[in-house]
Amino acid sequence: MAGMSLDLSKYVDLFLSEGREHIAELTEALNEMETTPSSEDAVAAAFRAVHSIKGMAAAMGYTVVTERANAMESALDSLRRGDAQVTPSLLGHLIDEADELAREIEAAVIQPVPEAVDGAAINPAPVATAAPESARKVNTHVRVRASRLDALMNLVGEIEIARGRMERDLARINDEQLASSFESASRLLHELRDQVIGARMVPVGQVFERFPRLVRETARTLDKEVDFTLDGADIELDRTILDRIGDPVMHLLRNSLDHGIEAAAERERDGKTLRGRLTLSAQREAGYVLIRVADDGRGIDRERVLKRARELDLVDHDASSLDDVALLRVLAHPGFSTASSITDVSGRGVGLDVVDAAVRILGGTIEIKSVTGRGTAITLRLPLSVAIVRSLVARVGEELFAIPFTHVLETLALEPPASALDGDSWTTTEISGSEVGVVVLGRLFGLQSHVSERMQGVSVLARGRRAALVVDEFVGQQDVVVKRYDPPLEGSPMFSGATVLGDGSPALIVDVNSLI
Amino acid sequence: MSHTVLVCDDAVFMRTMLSDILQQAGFTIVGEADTGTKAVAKYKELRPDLVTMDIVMPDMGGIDAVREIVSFDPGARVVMCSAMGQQALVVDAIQAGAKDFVVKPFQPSRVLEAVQRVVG
Repeated sequence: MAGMSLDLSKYVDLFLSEGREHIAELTEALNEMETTPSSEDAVAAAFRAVHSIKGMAAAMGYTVVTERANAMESALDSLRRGDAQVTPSLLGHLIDEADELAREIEAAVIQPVPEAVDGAAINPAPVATAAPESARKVNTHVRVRASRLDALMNLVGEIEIARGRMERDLARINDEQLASSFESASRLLHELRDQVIGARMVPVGQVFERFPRLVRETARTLDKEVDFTLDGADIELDRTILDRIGDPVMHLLRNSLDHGIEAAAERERDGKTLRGRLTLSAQREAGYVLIRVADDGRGIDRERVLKRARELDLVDHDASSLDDVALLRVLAHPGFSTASSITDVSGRGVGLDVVDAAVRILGGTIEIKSVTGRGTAITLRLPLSVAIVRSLVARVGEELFAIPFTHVLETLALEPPASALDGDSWTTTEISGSEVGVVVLGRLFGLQSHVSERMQGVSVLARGRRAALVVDEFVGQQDVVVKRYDPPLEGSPMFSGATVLGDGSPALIVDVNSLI
Repeated sequence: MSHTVLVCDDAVFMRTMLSDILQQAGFTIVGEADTGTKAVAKYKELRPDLVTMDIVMPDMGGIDAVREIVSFDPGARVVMCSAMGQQALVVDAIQAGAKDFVVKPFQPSRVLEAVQRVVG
């Protein structure tokens, strides 16, 4: 195959970052061999590390590294096969060799990449416009544990809340210097937030790239002929959001294949192209990412939906038709499904309601456009980022509230003191020998809440002080996505944000600091 | 529609280089695996037209992985990737069901030759 060339300069950074990782693995393995000479796993790990380095160096044409790695590989191979034993002197030698290897890897990338020996065309890479110092600045990637990115985002969420509180407190103080210092700090926090959000952004292609295959297979199972297009795979989305919309999007694709796109024969009768068209696209719009699943199938059967909606009492009985907004509202109703036969693709009762719930939890919305006979387009409008706060969810009266875990010490059953039973919203009581403030949330929030002799409470800590918040009952705990909340202008606000819970109910996030 | 490939190698570097070579020639990379166990699992999930398999991998080696894949799907098309000096293992790989092999470091022409011959 003539004319094929491989531009090795593209791989220099990867060689360096992977090379360093393999050196780290090698060093760890050799250390293990020092403490546990009989460890077969350590020998195997050392072998693999050196083997990988050899492979990469050979591919790059770095002969010095290749030769040293090769020699080490032979030694480790003998150990691996039991032809030699791990002795202190052999181990010392391998450790020295590993150090040399590490140095040679760093040095190799500073020299120009040599031409290949065997005639395959390689573009010689002028590696770094190398600084005289041997340390070369490389645009290396770093591996970060996903949980750390989540922790960072959590912190950003908390910082946002704290910053908002400071802003309100500062508004009461008339100090220009303080205000200006705060503004600088605020701007920096905002930038930090942007950077963290940026670090969490991944191209949607990472999750969407598996769909073409799945669509092909599903189409085959359903005996449908479909051309599938994926647009905007490099549009970026917060990784948490992307993780959580993968399944809903697949569900929408399955719906289009199952209910939307008609069999080839039917399409032909209707004068359509034999092959159906299914598109998954991602695009940016202001502060959102729009993910769209569109097909040119038969469109949603509004008559059937209307009929079923009447059966379920979801619409007025004299409603004669459903516009797009009403259609969405009906379809998104939990448990709604018009499937007349259960195909194993769509399942029973799993409908748009699941997708809708998933999107709403993330702070997004869905839009439907459907034209009978022409097709359906469902658009998910998703925010660019999520601030997530793990919270306890409690019911007070008829309302639900989220109490961030950062403040929660424990839940307990309380006997509210007499003053609370009488109607106070604030009082004190004794818990485990110390005096603790008691806040009856039902009274404080002005909600219909009956205070009885035994109530549920959560012990919280804020500003160094303990208090017990009295609620009606605990509903559970979950990660709660913080949406902006503009508090009333006067008085100290009791809530730091708003959210939508997993079941779609709205809940206010209690600002524990301001309650105590 | 282009042929689909599952690329198996425990080194990111190798997977990247090989994927680039194949993509430039019009193949579609549908998955990657860095252990033999994952290679088998991904094969069953993705059913690619072609697999490239490294010999030395942690957890389950490439030759065992080929054996399992071929026993699951006798029509599986696997091209073995071996480092220079592993000729004996290449024989094992062929006996386990691999259809061809390429030697590392990759020469693009040789890789594509082997791959084209295997997918037919």
